[in-house]
Amino acid sequence: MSIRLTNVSKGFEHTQVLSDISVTIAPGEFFVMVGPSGSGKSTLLRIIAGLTSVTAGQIYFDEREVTALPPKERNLSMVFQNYALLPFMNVAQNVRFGLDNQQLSANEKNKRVDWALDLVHLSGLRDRKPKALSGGQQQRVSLARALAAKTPLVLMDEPLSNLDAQLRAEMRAEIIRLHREIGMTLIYVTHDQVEAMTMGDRILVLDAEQIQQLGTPLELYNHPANEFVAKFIGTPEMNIVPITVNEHNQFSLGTEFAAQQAVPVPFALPAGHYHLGIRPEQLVPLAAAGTAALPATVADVQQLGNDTLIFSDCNGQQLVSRIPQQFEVAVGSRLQLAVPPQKGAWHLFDAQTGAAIKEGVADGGR
Amino acid sequence: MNRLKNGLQYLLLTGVAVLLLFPLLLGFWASLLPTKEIAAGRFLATNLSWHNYEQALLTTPLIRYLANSLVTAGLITFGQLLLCTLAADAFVFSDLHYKKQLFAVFLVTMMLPFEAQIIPNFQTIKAFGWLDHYAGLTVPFFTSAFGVFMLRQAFLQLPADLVRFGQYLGLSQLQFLWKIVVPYSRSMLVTFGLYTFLTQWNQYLWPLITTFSDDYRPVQVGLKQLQSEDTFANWGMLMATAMIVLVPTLVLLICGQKFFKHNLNAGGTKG
Ligand SMILES: Nc1ncnc2c1ncn2[C@@H]1O[C@H](COP(=O)(O)OP(=O)(O)OP(=O)(O)O)[C@@H](O)[C@H]1O
Ligand SMILES: [Mg+2]
Repeated sequence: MSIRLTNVSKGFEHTQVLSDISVTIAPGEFFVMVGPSGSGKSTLLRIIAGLTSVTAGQIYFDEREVTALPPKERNLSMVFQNYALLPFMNVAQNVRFGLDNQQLSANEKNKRVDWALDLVHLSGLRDRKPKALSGGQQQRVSLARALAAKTPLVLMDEPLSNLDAQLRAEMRAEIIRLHREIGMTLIYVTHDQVEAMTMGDRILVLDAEQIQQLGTPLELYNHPANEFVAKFIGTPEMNIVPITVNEHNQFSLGTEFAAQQAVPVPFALPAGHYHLGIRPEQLVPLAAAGTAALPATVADVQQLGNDTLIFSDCNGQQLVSRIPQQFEVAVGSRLQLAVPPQKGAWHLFDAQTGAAIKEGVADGGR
Repeated sequence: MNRLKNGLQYLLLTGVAVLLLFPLLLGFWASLLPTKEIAAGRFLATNLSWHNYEQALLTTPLIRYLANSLVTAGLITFGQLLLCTLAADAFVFSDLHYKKQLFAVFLVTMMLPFEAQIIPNFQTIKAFGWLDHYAGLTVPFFTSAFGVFMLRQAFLQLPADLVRFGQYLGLSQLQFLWKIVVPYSRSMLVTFGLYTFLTQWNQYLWPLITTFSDDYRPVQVGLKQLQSEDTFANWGMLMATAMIVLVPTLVLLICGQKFFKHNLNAGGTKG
């Protein structure tokens, strides 16, 4: 089922939560909505579900307008953050209860329950009460309940946020598998960018009432539309520092040009003020001092085993580098951080608006 | 050291228990003795028998009283469960405007002591012709602010996601109440039901002034009635009736113990 939102807005009494959201979701897509707490992800999901009304705008499912329809007429199912299982029913009864609003024969209902429990590997626990299950198992029950309805659209609101890290990774793989096997359209809300990156076909980043960016995980990572997305996607966060470029295509950190620290820009860039973003893995120390490098002092080192994170200070700007190996360096020592020579590693943002400066459009900062 | 402390605590508890149970035990003992011995003050007599119980059941309207109490307390319990549940549901789940303010006003009625309501209630009942009738005994007690308060607290515990799940299923408000809220809160509902039954079983003042015949008189008033009639001097039998009246309450208390302990504590700390 395809879903289309046109100019959807939502305000509560005192707060505007969503403004003018327009998006189309393709049939069978694994669509992730991500954003910080309070950005309106759940509200948008509930609007799609029909649990919350819109202030303005329309919603279409397969070109049928559903804006005013209640949830049960929208042919969708939901998985909730806190599972929403009924504690007084056992696993099988819980799954069956989700079919209550469908016109099915008892026989068909039983078949669906068996099928769904099998799918989430819970057939052996069908007579247990939810209390006697682990968090991961409870969430599987809740998944089974949603899947048993066999609706072409499934909505999930942070279904894994109550689980510990290991279970979360396991359930992530489980949900990806279920989506692949069943092929329903899946809209998935999370505030965890790792979940978003690893699960979604496309990701919608929501903040400040607006869609900040919509794209595939790699589009978001490689071409963030603005500073917010640049910082939100990827760990550790992208380094974003103010720079000043002079007429000779040289730049220095800070809002004033400092001639003694000038470093050449590896491509033509009009003079002006910018915000420069560089991913930590693109900002690595040079073996020997070079010209295209930023001198920095090591402030902290974190050994992750496979990676090493180096936090350093360059002209009062905090920078972080990620080196894909174990790397010994003393706190307080001096480093030369290589400025990446390839243009793709440079993320330039408008110093005022934070919007990405695209090629061709780039007429420089002011 | 710890052992000593424990021992002392048990000693103290046993002492208090004996003190509290003494009248009950004395009553039970007396109920087994012939009235003659009691009248003569010979409490250590040994000719014990169930004769007093036989007499109580056969020669007094005790069974009728018990039945009256059962009907009265049962009807009130049913009425309160039904009406308090519906009211609490409205205060928690409806889209009513000013729910909180309305509830505050509603709670104020809880502060009004029952004694202050007796005279107007009596006049109303009398005007309806409900004196000396089950209706008069039960209808004024069909709801209570306390019950609504307690159930509202219980319903507020329902997770928000369950409310949304009900909405998603398209349940009407009554279906939601019946299929999700009531079973979810059933232990609180049972506690409240038991509590109501026990309080109503022990009602005294209201039935005393609104019943005049054995046809409707509940046990507590019935006991008083027996005492003031010709059986006045038959202490052994009176004690036996008192013991019989106690039985249903004891049974309920023992069965409901687990609910009481759990829910009244919970209500105490949360509410
Ligand atoms: N029923 C409501 N009445 C008033 N304001 C609301 C209501 N529901 C949500 N809001 C507000 O709307 C904003 C977005 O809420 P929402 O729950 O959609 O955020 P979210 O992105 O899901 O956050 P989280 O990650 O914490 O779940 C918040 O500021 C919240 O306070
Ligand atoms: Mg949310």
